[in-house]
Amino acid sequence: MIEVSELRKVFGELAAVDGVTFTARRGEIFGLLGPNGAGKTTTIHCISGLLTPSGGRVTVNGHDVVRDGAEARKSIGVTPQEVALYEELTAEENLAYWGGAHGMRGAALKQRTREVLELTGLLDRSREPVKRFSGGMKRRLNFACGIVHSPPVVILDEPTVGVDPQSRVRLLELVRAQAQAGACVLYTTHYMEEAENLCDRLAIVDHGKIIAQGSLDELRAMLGERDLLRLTGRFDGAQAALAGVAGLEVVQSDGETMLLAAEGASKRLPAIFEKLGAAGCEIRDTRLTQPSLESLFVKLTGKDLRE
Amino acid sequence: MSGARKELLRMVRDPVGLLAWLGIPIFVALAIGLLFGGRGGGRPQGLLLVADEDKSFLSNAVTAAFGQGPMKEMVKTEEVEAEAGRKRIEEGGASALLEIPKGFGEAVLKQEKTGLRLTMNPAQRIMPGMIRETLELLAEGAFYVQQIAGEELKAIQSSSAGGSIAAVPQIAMSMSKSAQHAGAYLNPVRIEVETKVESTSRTAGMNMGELFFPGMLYLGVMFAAAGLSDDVWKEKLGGTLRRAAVTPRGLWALLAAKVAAIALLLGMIAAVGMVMGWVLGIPADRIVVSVTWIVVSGTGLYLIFVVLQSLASTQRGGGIVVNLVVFPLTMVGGSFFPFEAMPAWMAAVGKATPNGWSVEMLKRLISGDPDWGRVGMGFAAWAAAGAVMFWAAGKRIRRQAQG
Repeated sequence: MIEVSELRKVFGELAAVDGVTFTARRGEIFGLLGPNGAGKTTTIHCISGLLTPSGGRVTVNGHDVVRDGAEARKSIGVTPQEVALYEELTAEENLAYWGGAHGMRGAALKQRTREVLELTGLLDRSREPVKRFSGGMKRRLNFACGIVHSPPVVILDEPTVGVDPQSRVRLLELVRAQAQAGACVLYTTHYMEEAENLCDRLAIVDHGKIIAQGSLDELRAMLGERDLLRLTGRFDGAQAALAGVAGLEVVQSDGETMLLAAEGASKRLPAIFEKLGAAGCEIRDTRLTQPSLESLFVKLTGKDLRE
Repeated sequence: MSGARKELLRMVRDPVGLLAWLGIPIFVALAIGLLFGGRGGGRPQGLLLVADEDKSFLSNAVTAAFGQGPMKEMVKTEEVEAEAGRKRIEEGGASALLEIPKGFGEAVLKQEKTGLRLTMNPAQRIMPGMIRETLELLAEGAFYVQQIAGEELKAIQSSSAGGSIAAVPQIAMSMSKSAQHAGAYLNPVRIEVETKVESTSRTAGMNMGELFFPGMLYLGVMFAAAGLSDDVWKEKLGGTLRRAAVTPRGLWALLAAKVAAIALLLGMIAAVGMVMGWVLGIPADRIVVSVTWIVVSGTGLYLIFVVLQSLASTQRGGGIVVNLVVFPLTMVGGSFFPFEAMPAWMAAVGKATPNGWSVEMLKRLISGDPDWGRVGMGFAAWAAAGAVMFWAAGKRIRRQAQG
């Protein structure tokens, strides 16, 4: 449904998207995971036709987004990062407008408006101006406006930013329902848990490039069975002290923080502490995590996703 | 259609804003009505400039006639040099200029043919006409006085100090009535009053309300157009601009919907304004074409403001740019002061501005006989400019959506 091949988008000297390639299929949720500024939103803008790619090719539902943009846009429903609604209008009027913008008319539009209002739990508030809605309700309506025309391709750009936990759960259920109904869902986020729980396949993006992609299992396999050990303290000379320890990899060390990847790290903690103590290092805090997207991201990029 | 409906709904949901736009023409009409009266206007007051090169007893009497009875309250006189007076009339600074040539008094007394030259301000209808009629009556009366009491007048003229000067025209007026019976036996009038309208401007014959009304109505149009152009920024900052850009209908449809909605709003403002204008004396048969003109030109002005807004990099910047343009344009464009009250150079600049040009065309439409060919050209010019601005605004808005 979405095929992205060697996509590039350059702004002056900056390559915001640099050779991105992936395919998102019908009925699956494909996640783009990366920190802010990684190039996720620019990628989405190129796919939705807002930006013209500097290079590469994007097709949506078989239509090239550059040469056949209007047809491609008919297949897409976008839920942007911001709450893109008219606050003076009611929920019903917003849906009618955005449905109309996708070519819907008359009874079909009216019926579909009612359906999505029901789906998002806003039917009883449908005639209230949006400005009276809570943040969570606005987010749900924002999503509803993106699917009012029943698009085969649903693109969501960090739709849960700033949403309370209850509304987030509700929203994620709605996204899953779209995929189950056969839509191809492209979902960007910088929340690890959200990506782990929601997405069937993922691409990890950093500095405009995909650094890893696949299913969750495939990605975990890239990390191996190693735990991630994060130490905080003073670590002058620590790398040399740990150099000879088998099955231990120093992922990152900046003198105050040290990241180590090791199999069965919990059993090997005393030995690691002993080596560091002998080298004159000081340990103030220790955190041990199981293999996860976060540990993979840290391993691949050498930094936290939230940085 | 759904786009225009959405825009109108948004306007309706902001009743304060909507009432403000619609209230401007009502306020304008009420203000003009209070200042100048309704149909036909209230009691006007005019300024008569007198260039007396004769300086005789009789020439003084002519001037003094305007200081008597009801005319005293309606016309003020001011003595000027002929050249300065002509310039003042050219600039619209007085109702009329009366030039009394050297030798006038002598010629009257010798029953020789002589004349008075009256140059009238084309921007005023009532006062110059009253001055002309008074002067003609005076000339006629003076003739009879001369026929009946010529010897006495000669005595007064030669003494240069006899009796009340102001009394002479009153005597002339009453003598005029009594002399009517003998009119058939007397010779024809020897004093000719030559009247001249300073310019052939189509504004000749307009009353004060008509003069101020178009400019003030465009003040409302300018404020509405400038105020609503800011909506591009609201759409951008709210994210709806970007969202609209990725729909099949796209941003051109969004802009077209905005234009349709503003045209409708301007139509309402213009209709309210023109109905109020009709109360002030604007002919009913000009209302439709005038409303159409206001809608077409106002929409063009709106598109200019949208382009200016979208050239800025922030909402605040856009507001500043538009305000910097709107205020000078309204000042010189005939909205605060009619062109007739401006110095010639400023009026020329003002009439060359888009709003000033539109004000001038509206004046022609609501008074006098407009040149319909020129009106058609005006519509065509605004349509062409509007199309160019629509294209430019569409391009700029797309860039805003991408930014």
